Amino acid sequence: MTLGRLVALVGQNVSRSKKNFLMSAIGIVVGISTFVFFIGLSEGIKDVVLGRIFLVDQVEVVAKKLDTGFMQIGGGRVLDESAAVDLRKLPGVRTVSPKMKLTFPTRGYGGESLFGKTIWAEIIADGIEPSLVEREIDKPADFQDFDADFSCAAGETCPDGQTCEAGTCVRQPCEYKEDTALAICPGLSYCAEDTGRCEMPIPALASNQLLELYNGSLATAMSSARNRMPKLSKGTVLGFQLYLTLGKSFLGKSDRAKPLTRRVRLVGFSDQAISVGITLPIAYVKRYNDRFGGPEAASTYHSIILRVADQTLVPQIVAQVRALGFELAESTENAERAADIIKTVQSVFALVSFIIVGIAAINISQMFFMLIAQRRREIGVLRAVGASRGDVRVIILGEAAFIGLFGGALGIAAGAGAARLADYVASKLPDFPFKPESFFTFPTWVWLGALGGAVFFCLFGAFFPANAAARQEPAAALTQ
Amino acid sequence: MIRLRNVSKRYRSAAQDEYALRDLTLTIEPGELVAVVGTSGSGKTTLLNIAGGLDRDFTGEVEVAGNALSRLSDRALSDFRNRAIGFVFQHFSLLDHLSALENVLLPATFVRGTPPLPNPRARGMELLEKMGIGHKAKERPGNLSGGQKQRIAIARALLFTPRLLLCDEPTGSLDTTTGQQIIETFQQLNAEGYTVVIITHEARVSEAVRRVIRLEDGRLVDDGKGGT
Repeated sequence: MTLGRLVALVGQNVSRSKKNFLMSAIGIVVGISTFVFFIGLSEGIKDVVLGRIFLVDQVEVVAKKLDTGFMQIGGGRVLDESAAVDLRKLPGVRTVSPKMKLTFPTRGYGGESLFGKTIWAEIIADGIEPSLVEREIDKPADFQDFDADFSCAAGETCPDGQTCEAGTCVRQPCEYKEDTALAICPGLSYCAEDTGRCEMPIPALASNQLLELYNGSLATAMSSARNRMPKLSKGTVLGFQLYLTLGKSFLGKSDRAKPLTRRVRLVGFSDQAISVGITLPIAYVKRYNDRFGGPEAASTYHSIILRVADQTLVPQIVAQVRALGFELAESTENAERAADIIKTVQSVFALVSFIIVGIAAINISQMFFMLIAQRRREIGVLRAVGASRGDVRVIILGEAAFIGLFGGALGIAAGAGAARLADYVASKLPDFPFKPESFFTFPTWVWLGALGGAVFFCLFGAFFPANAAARQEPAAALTQ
Repeated sequence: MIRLRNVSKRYRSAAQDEYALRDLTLTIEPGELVAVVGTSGSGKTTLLNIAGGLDRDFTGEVEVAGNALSRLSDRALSDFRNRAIGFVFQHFSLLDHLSALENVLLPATFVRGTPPLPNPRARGMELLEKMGIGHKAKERPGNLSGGQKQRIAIARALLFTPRLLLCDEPTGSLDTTTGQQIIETFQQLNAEGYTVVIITHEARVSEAVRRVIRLEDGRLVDDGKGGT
């Protein structure tokens, strides 16, 4: 029997038993729509939790702390360059990126253009390798160490505020005055009081979470009846600059060196940035830690990020990291826990959905047994005119596959429709941190799994009736 | 065309086994027009089912058009029924959800390998015209008379020009006039070269054939000339 003839025969059979087939498809529709809705929801939540809150394609390593019960003290192996070398050798580790925090008091001020008033704040900052975020930010060249020595021998251009002299970029001298400091130097550069030269602002990144946190909670909390804090978008804050006072804050000051004032410019958002604070190229942090905290502060990393080649290798890498005498940062521990919880919840949703579809398959099985009893003589006629046992089996299974495709497609449409409705309802709720545009993510495997699952369960339900129909002797069937 | 040697068929039951056919041996040559008669339960329909490859649960040897049916696989036997045998049943056995033409074309659905006809649809229409119901090609069986339904069933049996027609009480559900017309149709088909075997209990059918085989309790009790 050709596929075209089978399709025609199945179509004729389905159209004359519409009611039976529709009733059978209802269970499939309910099961598949449940599957699509809940798996889409858990995938969406997974994207937010593991893609934005806890990152699972990387492992953050920290030095082992000794827990005395009332405080933690360092006691394990120090995270320095030799540790980074050892970690880089672990199988499955793609890249190693150290992080270093500023280890001295720092405060920031500015923000008139955004908030309508100057805001002062204690600043927490860390430093990362620019290569860690080069694919994540729009202009990677903005996030680099502008205090490094730049060559202009081969015709390269120098950063703003520097001129090319004998193949080397040299900062232009300037006369510092408070009211002209920002205008006297070319481009983005400004005149620094301590050096008397044009300096580029220190590039900084903020975390996506920080913006979420500000818009979701801080903006409201910091607003007063007279002064409402605006909601911010990435577009409005990119390029925003503020002053940093390095070596001095509200909490104290460094004893090692005189405080410095530098400008900082926000050049992008990244999930690699510190959650609350700003992230700078690590070269700045090393220099300032050396200046205000000493050589040890400049050579000790606070954590090292290991990017893994394959997420499935994470457990193996974690074990090796622990064997080297290090432990995981809380964010990585949380990511592991979150991933486990989401996986469990997702499995429960999938199980419930498949139980519903499984019950529908039993219903389908009963329906086919009933149909076959009704069509016993007809099957005998088909056998008399040349249908083999295999043909009879294929016809019944073809009808089941049709119910699966039809019920599966309807279930997918219903599940996706319910998801859109849920998103619409959620869009009317007040904003909260990490609120996504959509709570649902539908990877291709969800569609294929839904449709494939529907067809599979229908075929499974029809398998035994189809075999029973095929086993009927034509003579016995014709005597009905 | 049909050779049966020592064919027996028994139905097993808890009380005792019942024989539908007992050690039956007979031959029907190509081109014959044969009536198989007997009382109810004499084994007529069982004989037709076995000769048509619809029932394989028997002992003995059955050969149809040179094929030993018990040696064919289910698939090969299905192919054989599809191309070499036409069945006509008492209750027409048409599919009510299909039109007259679609019923006639039903055997074409199950063709495997090289199609026996280049254009089954044209052949189907030709047969309906020949049966005098070409104008009913698009009608469903539910809208047709008994005689018209039986003509559709005959047209279906003839689609691939099978040479052997096995008919089980083909006039049993028809009035006298229509029944007579159907008998004449079989006579005409026999004249065209078809081997026709008719299971019947009606005397008028026995009178219209050249050979009458009588069965009683599954045994051949008479094999003689008919009325023509």
